[in-house]
Amino acid sequence: MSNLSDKEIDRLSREAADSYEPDESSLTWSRLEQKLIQEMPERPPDGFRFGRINPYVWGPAIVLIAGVSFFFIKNIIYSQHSTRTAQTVTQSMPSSAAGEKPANGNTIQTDSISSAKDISATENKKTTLPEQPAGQGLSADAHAKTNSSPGSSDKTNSAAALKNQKSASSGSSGETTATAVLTKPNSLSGGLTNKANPIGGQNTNSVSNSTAVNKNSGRKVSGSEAFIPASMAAGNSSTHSNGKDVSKTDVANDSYISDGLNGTTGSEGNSGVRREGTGVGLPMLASSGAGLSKITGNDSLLKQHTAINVPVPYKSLRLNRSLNVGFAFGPDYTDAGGITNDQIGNNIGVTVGYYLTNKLSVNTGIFYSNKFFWSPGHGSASPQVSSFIANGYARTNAAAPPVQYVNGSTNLYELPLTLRYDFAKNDKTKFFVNGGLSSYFILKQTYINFFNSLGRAPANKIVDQEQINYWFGVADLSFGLETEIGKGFSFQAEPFFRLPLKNMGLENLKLNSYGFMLSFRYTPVLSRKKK
Amino acid sequence: MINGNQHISALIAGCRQNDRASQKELYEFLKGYAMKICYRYQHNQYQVEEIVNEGFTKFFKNIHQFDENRHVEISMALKGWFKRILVNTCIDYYRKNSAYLHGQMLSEETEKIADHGETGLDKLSYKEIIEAIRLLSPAYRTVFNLFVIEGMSHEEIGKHLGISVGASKSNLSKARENLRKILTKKTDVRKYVEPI
Repeated sequence: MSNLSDKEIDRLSREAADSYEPDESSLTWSRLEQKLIQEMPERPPDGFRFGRINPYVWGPAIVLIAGVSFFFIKNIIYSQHSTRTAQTVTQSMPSSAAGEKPANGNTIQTDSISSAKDISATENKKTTLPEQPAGQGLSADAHAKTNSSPGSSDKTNSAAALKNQKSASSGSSGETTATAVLTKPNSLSGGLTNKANPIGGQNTNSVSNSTAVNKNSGRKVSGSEAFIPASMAAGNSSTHSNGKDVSKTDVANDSYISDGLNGTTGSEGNSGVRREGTGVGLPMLASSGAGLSKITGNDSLLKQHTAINVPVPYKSLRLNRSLNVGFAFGPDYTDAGGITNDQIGNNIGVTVGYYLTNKLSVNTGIFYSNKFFWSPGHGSASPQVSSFIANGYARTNAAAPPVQYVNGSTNLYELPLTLRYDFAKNDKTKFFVNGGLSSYFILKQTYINFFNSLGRAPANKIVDQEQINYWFGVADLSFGLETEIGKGFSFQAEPFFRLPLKNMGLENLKLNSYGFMLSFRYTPVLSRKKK
Repeated sequence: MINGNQHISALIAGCRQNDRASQKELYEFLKGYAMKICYRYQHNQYQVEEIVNEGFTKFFKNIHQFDENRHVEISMALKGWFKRILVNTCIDYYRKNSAYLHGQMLSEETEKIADHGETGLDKLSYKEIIEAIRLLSPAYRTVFNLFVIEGMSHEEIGKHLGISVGASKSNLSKARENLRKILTKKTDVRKYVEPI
């Protein structure tokens, strides 16, 4: 036998390897099945279905959510800009278009009211004066101030107004436009006499002018014959320009027009009409079309305006939006001792916040979380775990071997209580830091202990469904941004760190969690107060 | 019993869906084959089972990589593919425990088993040859299996085991020498006993 050559040994070995069938009865499916359950579960073993979502799924999902959010934010901002632009366009609508529709007094009303509504709505929302269109707002404001100062002119104006009332025919479309133009700035000026009296300002100007010229129509309007109710004229002192000759008034008109454009107060004789051939593109009065020297009007219409234009004391509206509720979700990574973990945990829940001051709020909520982690063995298992392991080893009459690694998963409810400080804010976005304590209520713990033992069972699974509460056992730190995406709705992205202050679970592990939370929040109006 | 390509394809499809029933059926079909391969690489029966289970786990995890459409005889192709997984698992297991197993010589127990062999060369069964291979130290046994049975080159062995080509050749030489000794002892006993 010692003479066996290498080739012969190799040949015999190959033949034996090909032909020999060792006893396979020791191989059992149940053992492999247990291993497969651990490593290839048919369904997430614990918790909700997100439990085992691959991190490669989370990434695109987050990108998608961020993209959709950005799209909405962008659209909202765009639509707001569009609305603002549309308002501006409405204010500067040329008279020519309106001039084609004589006697559309309803348009006057609608425009005035709708403008007023729009503005008041804007005021309600922001409680501050919105940006006024360049020039016009200021001119109207200043114009009103100028008008209100010399009280001596009232009589003249009243007389002229009475006269005008008689002679006024149906409302001209030129007025309509002019009214619309001036309505908003006047009402914006707030607290002034002819605030919300759009026609008053305009008509006063008409009265104050000896002669007004419509550039577009090329018709001359006689100021003395222009219609104006007395009530509208009241308080509008343009008498210094009344009765002046045409040329002087025209100069005054120019002054007003240019003032209007430049946003400065008119010097005298605010007319609101333009001089023929000046080429300044302000809205103008249009005649009725019946003749060059007369503006025809409608008494009833003007009375309506008079009724509408009763000055209403301005009140700012303060909305109480201290409370917010939200829906939050996000992945996290749990580290229980420095071993890389390939499973991402999940958090899903609702949040509630209350602003104590403008910048400081207290926040809480309830989250359902799955946490997956790996931990190095502690040489020997904790007493509780040892008893579990020993139970598993009882049938082998062997002592529990030292644990090499622990693979764990935990299902828990989390109750954070944090203080949030908004340290910066731009138009729609707040930047904040958040800190506080969280309580963990562990519902279920699953551990797979891997033993450093050859020839014995390599792993042991422990499942414990006894609830364990850890009140304020975790420091909760986060920062992030919150951006408005709609009326009362906002989107929030918030990276967070949850650092345990005590050991937790059967294995007495410190579960550090790092992740980020995405949330949609709604801030209802709790109350409205007028001031 | 698995009959035909269609059946085995269905099982493979089921395994891809992580279907336990399909996995079980395929396991029953392949476990003997797996045992046959892994048995040569480990002396300890429990470790053999562990490697087999590990091999099956890898097999089921990666079965989506197996393309049955490229093969005429799917079961043979599947076995070939599975064999590679098993051999690699054996190598991995060896490497994982190499710090402990390197340099391990024939144990006293091994010597005793060799001394108490009862069959001669003429009646030396395949079982005894395989058992003799299993009695080799892990380093020698692994190199011997890979070179002689699996047909790997020394370069490949060196690469897989993380040893030099020279070490691989040396281990193979010593493996053969030890195997010869073991088999000789068996036949010597046979020669001694036979006259009685």
